[in-house]
Amino acid sequence: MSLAVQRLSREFRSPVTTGLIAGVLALAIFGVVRGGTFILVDSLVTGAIWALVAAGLALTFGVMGVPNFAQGEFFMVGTLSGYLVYTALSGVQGRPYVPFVTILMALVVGFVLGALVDLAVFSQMRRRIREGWVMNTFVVTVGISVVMINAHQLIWGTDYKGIVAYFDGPPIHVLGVSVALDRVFAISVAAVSIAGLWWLLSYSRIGRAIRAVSQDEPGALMVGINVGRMRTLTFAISSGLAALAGATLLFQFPSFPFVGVKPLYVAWTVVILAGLGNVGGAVVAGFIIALLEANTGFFIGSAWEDVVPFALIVLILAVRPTGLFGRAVRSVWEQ
Amino acid sequence: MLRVTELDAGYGFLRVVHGISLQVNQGELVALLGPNGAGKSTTLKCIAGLVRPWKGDIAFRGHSIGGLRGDLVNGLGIGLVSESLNLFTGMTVYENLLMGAYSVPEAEKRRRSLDFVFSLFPRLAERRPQLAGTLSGGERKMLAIGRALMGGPSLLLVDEPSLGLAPKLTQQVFDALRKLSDDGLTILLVEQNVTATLEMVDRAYVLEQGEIVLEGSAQKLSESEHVKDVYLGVMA
Amino acid sequence: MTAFLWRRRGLGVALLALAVLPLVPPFDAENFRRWLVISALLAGWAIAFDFTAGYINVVNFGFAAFAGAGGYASALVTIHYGLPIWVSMFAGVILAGILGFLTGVLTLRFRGIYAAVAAWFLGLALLGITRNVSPITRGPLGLIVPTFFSTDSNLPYYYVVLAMMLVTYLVLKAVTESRAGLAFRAIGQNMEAARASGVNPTRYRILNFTLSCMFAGWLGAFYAHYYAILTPDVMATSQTVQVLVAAYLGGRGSLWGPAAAAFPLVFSTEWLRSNLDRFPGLDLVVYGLALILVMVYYPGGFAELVHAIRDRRLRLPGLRMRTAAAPQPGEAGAVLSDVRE
Ligand SMILES: Nc1ncnc2c1ncn2[C@@H]1O[C@H](COP(=O)(O)OP(=O)(O)OP(=O)(O)O)[C@@H](O)[C@H]1O
Ligand SMILES: [Mg+2]
Repeated sequence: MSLAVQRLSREFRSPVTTGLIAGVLALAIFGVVRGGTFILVDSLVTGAIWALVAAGLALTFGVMGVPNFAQGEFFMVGTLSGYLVYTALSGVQGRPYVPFVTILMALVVGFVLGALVDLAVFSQMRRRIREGWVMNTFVVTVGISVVMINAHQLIWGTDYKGIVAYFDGPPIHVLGVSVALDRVFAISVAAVSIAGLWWLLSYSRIGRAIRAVSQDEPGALMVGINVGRMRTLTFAISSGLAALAGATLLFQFPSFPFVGVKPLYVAWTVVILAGLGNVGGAVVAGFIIALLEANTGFFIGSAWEDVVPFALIVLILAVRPTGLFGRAVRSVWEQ
Repeated sequence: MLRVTELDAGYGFLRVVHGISLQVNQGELVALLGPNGAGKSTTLKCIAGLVRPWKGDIAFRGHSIGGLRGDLVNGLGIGLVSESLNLFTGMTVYENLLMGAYSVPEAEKRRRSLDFVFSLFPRLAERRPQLAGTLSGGERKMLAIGRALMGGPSLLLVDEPSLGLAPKLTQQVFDALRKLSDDGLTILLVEQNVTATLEMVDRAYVLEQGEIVLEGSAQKLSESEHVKDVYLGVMA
Repeated sequence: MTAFLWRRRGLGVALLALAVLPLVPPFDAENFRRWLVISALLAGWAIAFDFTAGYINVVNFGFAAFAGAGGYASALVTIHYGLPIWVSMFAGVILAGILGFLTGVLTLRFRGIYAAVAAWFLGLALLGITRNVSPITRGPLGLIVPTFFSTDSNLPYYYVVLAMMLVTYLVLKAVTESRAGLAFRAIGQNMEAARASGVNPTRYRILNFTLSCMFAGWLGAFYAHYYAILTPDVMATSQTVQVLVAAYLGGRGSLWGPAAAAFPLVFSTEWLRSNLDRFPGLDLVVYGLALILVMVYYPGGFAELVHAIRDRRLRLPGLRMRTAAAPQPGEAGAVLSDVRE
């Protein structure tokens, strides 16, 4: 914990970061005053889920140097397995444990699929490629994305496979806004998963080993860490988180081949804003982007929800190329 | 304990180590000396499994470990303190030491190693919550040695501990190594600081351009004309 | 000039073959001719893409957006000002060039993946704008665009796009063989080292982006006046992915490799699509798998393969000597340690 505090306090010394945080707070207050509290609640729910998808993206980049273009497709896998499991459990739908079983299954499917992809693709590449790792893996993930999207179409078709809601109880009221139970569920799942990820990375033996690999690979080998296994695990965790997010948001994002596009865009915006490879920053930036989207959607029109964040990110990048919280990015990562 | 036979190694098309053989017995403190670019670090990395040998055999306690992956070599009880140290700069001193004991399952054993490292380098105990990236050069070196000791190795490989240290600190580090050796740890040390090294070690090998040109007891080497000429700067 | 042409005699043979191809059976069927048009268009784009990716080592992931912007500019100019298509196309060149220039300026400070993502986001923003300013672009409804010819035949279109592809290749190749080409490769390999040896990275990166986007926009204009309808989808990432696949399968840094890869790529995917229409999506699964396999096992692509075959024939004894003198690199000499040292 002290570490996180140390780092945060260091980051707040930068005027750009402080200015940006102030700007976001101002935006939040403005949104709430002019638009209503629902903007805040809305941003909290989506922000939490985006943070989950983006944290995985940041983790894969930080540990493996893989800028994953297929992250959205693992979200898609989550929606799909969520849908398949949930409909398969139709006999017992309505039982309170069913949604939990559903998202857990999605997590497992995403995790296993991620591990397989790493073993089949990235581990093979590690043995062969000496230079241009980052860009080459990026292109490979583009291929993975194409394969996954079209495999979905090939096997399950292009129609929307969604559910109305996991929970059909009455909405609860927060800050004068009524929030559907599914959204409460979503934000709780996201909060628990982020806390879990944070605990895993900060305090567990495996989490430390993952961080060790991201900080110094030969060093990790020297203390006896099976570096290859840690990479596989990292990719599996990040795919699992994306799938979990997808299953959790199934009520809002019915499964179809291209459902991953939106989460992919958002996750990348978040990660670039936070600085590539910065897992903690990704969580914060997830909320910033969600707030920005909610405000854009309300004040300018939902068609511009995507455009404004993209344009803004490019501007932020022009001022701070390493992202909001990024430290000087190491040269290996820029290949 | 360690026996290297006819080892060939290099990078890409470039061969750096040409058929060298060396041996370190249980409890010995042995030095590998030589000028820059001789291939000393490459030899250590081969033993530690960070560079794959091209040819030849590396045997540790009678088992061949040539070409074994670094993490597995570490698991067999070989600790490496590399030239660049390879610390986890974003972790605290304590976490780095903990990572050193990554493959030690018993908490009790880890605690004892930690106490031992802190008694060897009290400085590290003071710096426990500090990020490794913010340590001074001397402290980093201590941390790297400490981290390697945390795994409870039976053979310690140390690459140029005197690099970039003031003479006084070098002496401290050497004293620590000597103490470890006296306590029974087997050590293979790579050094360029020939005078100080020969005063401390039992035996030494001299490596030049990838080949062993001299070997013998510390006594014998410090009297050798070649060593005097080239390394000690004594005018004949 | 003659030397420049003589060194391109391989190109001449290839072009001749491509020129007569739509006249010989079975390629004289209209649907094969259509595939040829698509191939040549993709080849042209792949050349322009490789000009950036293979030389200054920046993947312009917003490529399709710039190409599409060129298409829209040309279409709108013909529609509103009644200019002949041959003239209005240059509106596309200019708009895409300006956008490329701006992108070059904006992404100047970034390298590698950051530059790719910045260009990608710019492209997405452009796509969003195009979709949203429907009074001008008619948004997703699609803009009806006048075509080059009133005929239904693909043949005249094919010769037009083939010529455009050729011009793209010759101009960009000439640039890469000039001093600028050396500068591109230098900044692509190591920006700091290039700067230290007197190359101005700023100027060359902007020049590269501008040129590449100008040709992308020109070919985008062809696209508009060939398909007769433009929707914002032409600017989508999936479109960039197609170009990127051709460029990477063909082999970066050769210009001709990406062009050569475009033809079999289009033919195989179109064939799969039309013959296996019971399995929608199968063509793209195959396509994605091909990309993954090539990137994992042979990242040099088709161009590298051709070079390897040619070099081995020329210097076989030398190669043998080298392998005899030193152990095989790859396997035995693999360096595990210095990944991040
Ligand atoms: N990763 C590498 N890739 C290519 N060549 C390397 C690599 N590491 C070392 N070399 C080369 O191998 C040779 C021997 O290097 P090595 O580090 O083993 O020497 P050394 O004896 O440890 O020298 P020093 O005393 O300067 O540390 C040098 O010529 C060096 O340039
Ligand atoms: Mg060395």
